[in-house]
Amino acid sequence: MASDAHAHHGPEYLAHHFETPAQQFDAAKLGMWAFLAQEILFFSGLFIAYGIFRTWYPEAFSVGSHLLDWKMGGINTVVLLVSSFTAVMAVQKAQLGDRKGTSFFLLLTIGFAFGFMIVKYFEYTHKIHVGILPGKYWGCPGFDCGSAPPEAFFQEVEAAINAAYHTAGPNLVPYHIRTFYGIYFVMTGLHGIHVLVGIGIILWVWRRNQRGEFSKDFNTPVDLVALYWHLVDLIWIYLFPLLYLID
Amino acid sequence: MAHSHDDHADGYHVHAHVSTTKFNLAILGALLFLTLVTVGAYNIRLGDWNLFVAIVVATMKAGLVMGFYMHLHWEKGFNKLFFLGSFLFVAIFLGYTVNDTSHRGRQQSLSGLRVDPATGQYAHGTAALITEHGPFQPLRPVEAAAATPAASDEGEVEASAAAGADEAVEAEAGEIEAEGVDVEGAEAEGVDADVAEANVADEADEAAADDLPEE
Amino acid sequence: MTVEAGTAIPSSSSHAEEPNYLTHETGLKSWLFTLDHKRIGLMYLVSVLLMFFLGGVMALLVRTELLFAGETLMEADTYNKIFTLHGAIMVFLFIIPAIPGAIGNFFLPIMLGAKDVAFPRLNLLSFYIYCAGTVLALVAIVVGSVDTGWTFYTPYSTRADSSVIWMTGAAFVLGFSSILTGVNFISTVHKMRAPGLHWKRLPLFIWGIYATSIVQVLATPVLAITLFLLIMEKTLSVGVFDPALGGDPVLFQHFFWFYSHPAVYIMILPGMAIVNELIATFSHRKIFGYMFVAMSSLGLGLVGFLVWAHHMFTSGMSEYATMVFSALTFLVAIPSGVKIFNWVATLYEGSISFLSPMLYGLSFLVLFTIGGVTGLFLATLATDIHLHDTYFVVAHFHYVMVGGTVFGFVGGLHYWWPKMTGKMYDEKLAKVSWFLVFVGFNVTFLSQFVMGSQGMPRRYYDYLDQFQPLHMASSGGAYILGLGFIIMSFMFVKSLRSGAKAPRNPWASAGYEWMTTTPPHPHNFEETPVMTRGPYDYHLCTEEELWDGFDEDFQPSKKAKA
Repeated sequence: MASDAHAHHGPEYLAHHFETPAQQFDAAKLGMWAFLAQEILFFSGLFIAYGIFRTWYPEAFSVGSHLLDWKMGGINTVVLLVSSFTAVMAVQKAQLGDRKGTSFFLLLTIGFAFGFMIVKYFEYTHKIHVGILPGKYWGCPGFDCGSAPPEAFFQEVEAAINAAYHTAGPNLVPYHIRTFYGIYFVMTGLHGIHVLVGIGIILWVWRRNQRGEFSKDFNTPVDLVALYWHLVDLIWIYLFPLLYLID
Repeated sequence: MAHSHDDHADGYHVHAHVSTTKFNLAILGALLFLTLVTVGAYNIRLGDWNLFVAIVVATMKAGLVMGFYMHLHWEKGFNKLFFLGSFLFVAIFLGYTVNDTSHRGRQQSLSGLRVDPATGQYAHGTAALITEHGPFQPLRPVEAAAATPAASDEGEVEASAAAGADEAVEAEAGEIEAEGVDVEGAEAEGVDADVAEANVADEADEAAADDLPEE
Repeated sequence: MTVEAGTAIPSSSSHAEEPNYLTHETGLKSWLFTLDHKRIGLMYLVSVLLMFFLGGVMALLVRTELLFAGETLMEADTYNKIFTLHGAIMVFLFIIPAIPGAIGNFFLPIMLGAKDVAFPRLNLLSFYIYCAGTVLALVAIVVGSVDTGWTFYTPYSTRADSSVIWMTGAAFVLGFSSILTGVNFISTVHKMRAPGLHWKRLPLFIWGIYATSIVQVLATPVLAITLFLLIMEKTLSVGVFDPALGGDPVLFQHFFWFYSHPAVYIMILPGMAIVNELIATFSHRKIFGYMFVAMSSLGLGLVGFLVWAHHMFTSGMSEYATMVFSALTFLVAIPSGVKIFNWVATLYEGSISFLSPMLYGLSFLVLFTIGGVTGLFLATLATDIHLHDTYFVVAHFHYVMVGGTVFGFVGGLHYWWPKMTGKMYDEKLAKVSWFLVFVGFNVTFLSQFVMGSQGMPRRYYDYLDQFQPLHMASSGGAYILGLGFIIMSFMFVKSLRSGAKAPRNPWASAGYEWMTTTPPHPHNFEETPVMTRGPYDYHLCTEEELWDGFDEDFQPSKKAKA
């Protein structure tokens, strides 16, 4: 960068095109909030598809939801809420200039994120194995539509039908349960990708913290990464009851 | 907002809110408590109120996370406006789309051309498949024939031959016709019978021609 | 020390040896890894012009095929692919990034008196994301070509071949380039303004780009999720849009247009933004109703979110929804009208110089008004049933998108060319090319209005004999339009090779961007400027500020000052 023409006029972390650290901080914050607004709109499409199909096909959503294990979802909710707490603690430590504390809480956040993904992994593999899949893959164990679904598939679906509040009667599977699982996999999958991206950038911020780039005066990246992480939590706060807890 | 440099007197000290550990823990406690509430509400089976309660509790939790964990409560006015404003656009998106999807075909049903998905009648255009496949399918293929006794014609042969649940889908050609018969029966709701019949015939033709998605 | 607007203006003669952004660093690397918004702007400019050329070739192929009924040049399948590519390239690769990416990147920080955009690295990333999207789009062309139309409507797109995945993937990626540019500009406008540059002094170009950025940030993610769902539909068959799986294809249209209607404002607002500057500069007069024009940009951005389903009146959507959307669509006329009337009022008693940028600015007024008013015909439910999916619609949006945005863009390119390159261009050739472009454009699309009102459907490969003369006229117009653009390219290349050295302020404009040296200093201004007047305050400008270093060939009448 050609900052040579300008004598550097502030602390090291101040980029050449800003006048003051406060200006730099405010710009970064506003940019991040705008980005988060973008994320809200990004996910909104899925929530709207969810709302419309749930109104149209309540039985599909009721039965589909009872096929999910709310205890798994509940554990993941707790995991993410606690990780949000560790993220906000990392910010607090960074603001106070406590480098070790920041690193500790960032690592803890990453740990919880991995915990979340592990639970998700078990949920996904079971669904794929049994054949609880979206669209034309419904009843196709391992996406293989040539083979019949295992007995577990029928048992699970039957139990779900019997437990569902909106149902057409025993033994009747709502056709649009395929769409419910389409929405389920896209919503949780996209959320999962956000978790993975979060792990990546928290790790990056953790490394920068380890290298001593942050201080009491400059800790914007910790602040921003925490904002992102809270958004991931925010989405899940809605996903959990909307997908797992349908009566 | 008149002047970008007015915000900080010296400009060299960034003013951000610092929450205490105790406060953060209290918020976490509240969040966990609300999670218990939402799970509890699910387990007492509120039925039609399920969605309402779920949304309200989730919004309370989201408020806590946004307000205090994301420090939105202490954030600058414009940042608040921009972020919270995005929800207004979500509301526009949702509201206007639902205004379509929840009233789809109301007018056309009077002319017998298109029919309301909510009443389960046939429709040519959008949402046709709501009825084409039948809203429900038997869980096990063996019971397929028994569960839909109306599926009597060509479809049944195939249906009974089908072994896997996925193959039950193939029996649809038959099922559609069966559904067609149902609708014909239920057609006595003031819709012109001739038009309705023509529609049903059309639908069957179309379904046969349209077939299933190529796999 | 600071430079105050109206006091210490760098005079062009004494700063001949000043470092400028083009020469202070050399080598390919200094361009590819540059964080300088001006260089990134130029790289955008080159890319979008290449895409404009590619899309233009597709347009000429389409028009040549339609020269005669039946097969003229290509088979029907090829024709479908060509018009799809014309649409997709022009919309996603040219028109959306053109003005914000190229001209916005270059001039937004300069007009703010800032050294750079708020996030220079993010800015470079946006550019490379744009490049990645372009590559994906080219892959789509190679692997089989899309023939769905640029709107990718389901259920056809869910059943068409896999090149749809590449093309939608390209649009998905390009969307993120657009979003990041928007985020960057919002932060820049809010936090990077020079001292004295308060909101009421913000150049109207900035207001326009700012409104665009907000729309980009709030609407584009919906396109991303829509295309993501479409790709999922094709790979995982999620059953949201595909009727064969119980999905709703009309829902796709809602999702698509929730982005793509605001996207029309992403395209037109920057065009209007440029026209503000053209009208003010070449009338040498304070813009009439400044705050109304500024707010109408934001108003258009907001109203743009409320009207999307007017693209879907014949889709089988609920009649209640069509009525609401029809009524809301008429609202668009209000902020558009506010702009047009204020511009006309600015011209009144102005000292107008009919130089080439202004010719594009004035053409914009005429063509955009035609495009806008015909939009009202289409917003009326009953007329729309007749006109929907006919050439009338094609002509309507070309009048807005080409007559509006492209004319604005080209006008801006002429206007800022001397500042960007440091070279003047041949004004006579510029006028000739403007004349050809203006005439060619009107011949092409006026005939399409007539055909559309007579029922010629859009996207058809063949047509009835009754449309033969008008189709020929339309194709002929397209060739004139193409010739105009060829002469323009020649004119610009000639300027780069042998153009006269541009003075600091060749148009005698009061705009902030003309206060710096030509071509601009690597940090835009040698010292952070302090704004003591608005960008249209001709009555507050000094003689020196406006007329210093003026090239005699281009000197408009000096009585403008009086």
